[in-house]
Amino acid sequence: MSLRSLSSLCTHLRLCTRKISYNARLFEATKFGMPAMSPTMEKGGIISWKFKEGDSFSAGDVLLEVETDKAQIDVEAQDDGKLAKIIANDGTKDVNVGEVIAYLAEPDDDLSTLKLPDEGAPEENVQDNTNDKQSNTNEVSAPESSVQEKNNQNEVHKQESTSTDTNVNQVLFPSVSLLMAQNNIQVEDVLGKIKPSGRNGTILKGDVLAYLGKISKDSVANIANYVKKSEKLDLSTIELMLPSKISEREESVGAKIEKKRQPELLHYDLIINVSRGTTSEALNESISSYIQKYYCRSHKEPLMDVKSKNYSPLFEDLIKVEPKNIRFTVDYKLSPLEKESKSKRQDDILNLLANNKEETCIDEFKEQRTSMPYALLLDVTVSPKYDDSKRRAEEFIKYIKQLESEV
Amino acid sequence: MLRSFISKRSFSISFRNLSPTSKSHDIVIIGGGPGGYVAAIKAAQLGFDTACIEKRGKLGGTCLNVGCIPSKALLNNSLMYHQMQHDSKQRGIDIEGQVKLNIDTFQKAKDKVVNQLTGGVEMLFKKNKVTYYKGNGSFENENVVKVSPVEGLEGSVKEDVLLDAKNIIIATGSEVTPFPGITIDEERIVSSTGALSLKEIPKRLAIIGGGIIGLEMGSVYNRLGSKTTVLEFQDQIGASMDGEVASSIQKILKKQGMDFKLSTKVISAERKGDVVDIVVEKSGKKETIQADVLLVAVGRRPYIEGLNAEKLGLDVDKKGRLVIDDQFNTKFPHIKVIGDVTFGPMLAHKAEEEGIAAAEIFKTGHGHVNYNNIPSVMYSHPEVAWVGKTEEQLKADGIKYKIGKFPFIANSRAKTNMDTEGFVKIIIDAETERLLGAHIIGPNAGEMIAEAGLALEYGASAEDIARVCHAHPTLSEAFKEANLAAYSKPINF
Repeated sequence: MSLRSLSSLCTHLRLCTRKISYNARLFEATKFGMPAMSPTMEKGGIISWKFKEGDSFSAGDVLLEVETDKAQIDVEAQDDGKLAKIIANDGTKDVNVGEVIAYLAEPDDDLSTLKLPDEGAPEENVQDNTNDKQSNTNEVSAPESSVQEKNNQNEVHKQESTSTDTNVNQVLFPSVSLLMAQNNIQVEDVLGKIKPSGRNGTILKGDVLAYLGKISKDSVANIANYVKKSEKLDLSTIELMLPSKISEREESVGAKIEKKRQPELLHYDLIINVSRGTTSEALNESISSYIQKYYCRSHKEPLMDVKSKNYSPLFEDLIKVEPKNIRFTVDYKLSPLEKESKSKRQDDILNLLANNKEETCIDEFKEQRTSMPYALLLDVTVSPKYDDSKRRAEEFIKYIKQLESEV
Repeated sequence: MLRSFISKRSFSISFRNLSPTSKSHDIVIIGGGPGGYVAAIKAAQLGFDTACIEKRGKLGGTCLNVGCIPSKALLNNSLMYHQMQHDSKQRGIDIEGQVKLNIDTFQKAKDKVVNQLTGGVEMLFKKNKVTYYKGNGSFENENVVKVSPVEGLEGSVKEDVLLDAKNIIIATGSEVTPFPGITIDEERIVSSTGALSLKEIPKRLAIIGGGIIGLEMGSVYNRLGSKTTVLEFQDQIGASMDGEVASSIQKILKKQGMDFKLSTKVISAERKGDVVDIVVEKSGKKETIQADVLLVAVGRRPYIEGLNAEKLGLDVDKKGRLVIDDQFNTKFPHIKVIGDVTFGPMLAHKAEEEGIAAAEIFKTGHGHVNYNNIPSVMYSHPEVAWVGKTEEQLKADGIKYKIGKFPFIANSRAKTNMDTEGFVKIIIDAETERLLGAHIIGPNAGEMIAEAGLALEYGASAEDIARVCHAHPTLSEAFKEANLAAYSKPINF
């Protein structure tokens, strides 16, 4: 890898601060090795520590500033803790990655009694081999690995790998492969390092330009986000139509087309007398089956007088349009009249009924105290589609009328 | 009177059907237009038992029957007619006698194409085993769609059929937006539908609306000899076109003889015998324009008539569109809406994409539509095609961009064809050089835009396009050169 590309990598790394976490072990300070700020970083220098020995720090504080070639990188603490001892002081150059530069302790550790681990042993540099085929080159091996260091390294690599969902099998765009060749970049070297902004982890020209430091990384992210946002329908500002308007519109549309074809509504109310003791369930059932029976019959029955010499069932069948389709629908309500208490209101009902030309009915009711009156309210909706609809509906009502004396 | 007293213990039973025919399907699609029929075929290919309901009598929707397809037949043939009359001589082709238009055959040729294509879709249904119901589809409830007979429709269902549907796709499309106060009689005052089948060539044609439909139909009759006037309320034609492209094509069309009245408000239009009087107002001044035919082409609106969507309480927005989420779902996850009847541009190919995505979401939970990459084409001559962002959009969104332009006058193929009007305009991001938009005026721009779409889909930069070998001599070289111009310099200009 050329020095030039490395330096530019670090330049853009400078833009984001790195978070370093560690697990401190009780009663023993933990080693803090030189963090690898990039997978290819081998050595780094310490510009300055931001804390003195014995100082406490909180998660997110910048512990120190590290320098790699031309880039300077802030190293942040991931957890609260104390800086127990600084090994590599400000200005130390060429510290190998993983080499211990300080000891850290838990926030409540007593530094005076704290045992420091053996110094000098360089920390294991854990590299993520899946991401970086070159990892061996800068690995400083040590048999004893510290949990802390592992975490340090993993943290760095995790951050690096969030930007490396690169599709390793991709065919490079012409602009991309040419740019890489012109800058002496080996594709295998950078696959994990260039953050792809294209679909399915595809590296775009802008990504390489940003990697080379020719344009800012932000501009790549900005345009990628902008394009991504445009790819979806903007459903954020939906203004709903008021429900009343919908029905208005539907009505106006419906009115235009079906002006002549409004279904006709026929009402028929009657009072039926049921002998006392009949349960309402039984009554409901018999009324329901009665209505159903004549509903079907009035649909099927020939409209002509069967006894007429002109009647022919075959002819009837032929002239009936779409015989299976319904001519009308029926809704009905059955309610007891007597239950409404025997107060004045009942008289009112009787009066009303009296006006309702059904005098016989009332007379009957008055005489026969052994029977109970029920009101049967019939709504017949006649389909406007067929010429015979109304006649059949009327036929049906005729059958229902028989109930007045039948039940 | 009796009724008012009785409210307690009342009940109601209805007998709705004597013997309702009932069928069940995995997916029922309401509407057989480009959205619906494509969704139906895709769903069937994915293994769903699929049904499609269409009440027009012919599949293909507005697009195939009274839209894209018939208008393109007229555009193509009127262009040939015009070229024979005015263009052939300079190419060394002398035509003896008169070049005459036979309007009957002219219209029949169009009808033949339409019939072949709609019939073709029906064949595709058979091939893919999509059940096709001719009739009106409406919601009985959220799981049952009723197909009702339509009067006078050949092959219509004979009686109501209830379809039990596990999943439903609404693809009912759009209809012509009427102009308030103007009655369309489809004879003298016509919509786009009527404009496709005029019995004679009007001497004077006025068009309300300088959008794609208006300009295409204007082109047809302008070539056939009508004195064509376009009345546009905005100060620019071409709807959502890039501003520079819009003013360029306006100049070109004007040179062809079309007259434009922009920023002009139509007050009223009335048929008086065989002429139409149109009162317009421009910057406060009223004027009456007379025309033999007035085309009202002010846009289209969502169509949900007879769908009974209100029964399910489906949300409708202020423009009448059925409201969806980003998975095309209504408030019922098994009822999706695609195409013109919901959000997004009203384009056949957008509906197709959504139809396929909707079917795939039902199958796998995932579908793909890139709304940033839906091309638009106007089939005037030269054609206008664009995809992605316009300069105006990018300015509004605060994105810095670079432009590469290449005129067809510098393209060898266009030169040899003596058809050199127009240019390719490429817009890229200023820093990453990623392609953001492509705008083309030129011969066959509609075909050329496909390359831009592919590039846009894959996030290509201008360089990526320019480094792809394009055949010589072709018009597509102009596209390549415009990309070259965007990030570097063109070779041939």
